[in-house]
Amino acid sequence: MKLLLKIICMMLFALTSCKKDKEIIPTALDANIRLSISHSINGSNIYFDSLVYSNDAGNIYEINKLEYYISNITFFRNDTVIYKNKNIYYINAQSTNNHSILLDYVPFGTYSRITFNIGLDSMHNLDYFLPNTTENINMVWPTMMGGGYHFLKLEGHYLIAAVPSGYAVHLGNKSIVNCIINDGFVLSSNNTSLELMMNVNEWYKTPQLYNFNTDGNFTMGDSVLMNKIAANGYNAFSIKH
Amino acid sequence: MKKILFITAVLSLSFLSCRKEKEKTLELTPAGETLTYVQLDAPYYFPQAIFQSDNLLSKEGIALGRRLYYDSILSNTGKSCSSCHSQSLAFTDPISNSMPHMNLAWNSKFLWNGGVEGTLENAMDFEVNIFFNTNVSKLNNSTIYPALFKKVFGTTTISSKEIAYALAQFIRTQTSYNSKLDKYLKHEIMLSPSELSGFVIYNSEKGDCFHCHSLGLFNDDSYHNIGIDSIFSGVKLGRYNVTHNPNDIGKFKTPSLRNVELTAPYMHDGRFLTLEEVIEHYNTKVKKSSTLDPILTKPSHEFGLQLSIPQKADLLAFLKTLTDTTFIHNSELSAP
Repeated sequence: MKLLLKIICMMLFALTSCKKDKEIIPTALDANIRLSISHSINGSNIYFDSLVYSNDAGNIYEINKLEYYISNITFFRNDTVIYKNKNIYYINAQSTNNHSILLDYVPFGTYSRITFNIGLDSMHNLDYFLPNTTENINMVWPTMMGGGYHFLKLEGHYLIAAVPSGYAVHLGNKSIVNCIINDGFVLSSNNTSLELMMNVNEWYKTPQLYNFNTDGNFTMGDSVLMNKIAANGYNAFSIKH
Repeated sequence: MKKILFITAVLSLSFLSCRKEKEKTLELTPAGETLTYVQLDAPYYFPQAIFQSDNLLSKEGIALGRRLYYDSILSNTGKSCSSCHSQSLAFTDPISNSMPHMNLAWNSKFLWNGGVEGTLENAMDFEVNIFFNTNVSKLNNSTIYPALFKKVFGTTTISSKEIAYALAQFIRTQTSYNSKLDKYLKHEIMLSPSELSGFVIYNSEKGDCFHCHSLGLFNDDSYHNIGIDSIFSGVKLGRYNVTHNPNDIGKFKTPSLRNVELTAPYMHDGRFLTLEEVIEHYNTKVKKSSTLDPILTKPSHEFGLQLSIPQKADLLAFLKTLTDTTFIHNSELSAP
């Protein structure tokens, strides 16, 4: 009998070892929600490679590259977690085909808050944890610098005395970004989509002003700079109503 | 004992159920021919290979592509693919400075300026129709090829499409991942102290090579201006000559650093004859321009990497660990 139980346990393990975690049980009042993400600078669409934008520190800059991971997307009703998505999504702001995320089985209703991470939490930020797509391989954070993946790559040029110079805001290692959007929204049979918008300037704004000239224009490997940018990212996103 | 065997069997089932099938399978072509399909292997640090669904790798297709690769019948000048892609030099050539044919199954951008993007079939279509301007009737009239093409593609008339497809199959098998570094990553051997130091320089902000030459393929399947010029015209315009986008001026495809010891000269125009010159470029000679890659213009790098002489030697020693002697001696890739 003990042997039989042991075998049944092992077979259950065998069956579940290849399955994705799924904690949410679908009901008739759930729906697949389309979460789309757009990118802006103070509300204006981003034109890549255009050296015309300015941040609150007065840096005139352009964006050549904006890539990141978004994970742990969680919807709250008051202070209660109603929905949590455990997937990790790669976003390339220059690509037009991956700004849209399908969230499975989200309960309808009124929500008061969204939280998510930019980057991977420590459970998942491991060498070659993600599928080996070219994008993921190019986001790898070298093992000897802590391993895992780049959470964010935000690169371009900015002007120093009217001469373009490069900047590269890279986050990784322990500088995961905890984003919070305290803004209500309703999901119903008539409204199954939600749009988030990143304002790039928020990465350089609050709680601490970030200036490429005085803080530094390259963050990788510098935990102070990475933590400053990561802390500023808490409100980089908002719901587009 | 029985209990152990049974439990082992159950555990084996759970393990195998997650593994990818790797065995060869026999399938029939529309013409009723039997083909032996094969799967491309790769280490865990390679991205997913790019295939075209109507051109699955088969033993027969690879053999046909290999024959074509070494046959001057493709050209009207007496040249074959191998004329500019010599196996002993990692399938490149110092005279034409052609990009190496190596691990191209994992690339979607081809030629220095990315003149062809897509699959290897697209790249080979360019080679057959534009570069070689192949006279297809020569193949149709040959005593060898019609039967081979019929076997692989089920066609009675050879067209440039099937030629490109066969070449693509062979080139997908030109894989290199058995260098000293690969063996180190598989915990089979150790690197020397100098090579290890170079590995650290490569993979840290000190050398910052990894952002474009990502570990694995040692390229990123993308384009960059790495500051070898600040004034651009003609071929130096690079990617711009394809896109006519001013933001692409001076950008070229990132070459893989695998077997880089064998692929001199370096850069799109072969201006650097040695790896020492290449390292010195990044160390002290990066030229500024509006499209220079941001990674190369950060303040700490504006005057180059500032590597010391021993550090440069270590980086060079590491680069030489990317030489794959089994690749350049692989008889399955040699002239049939």
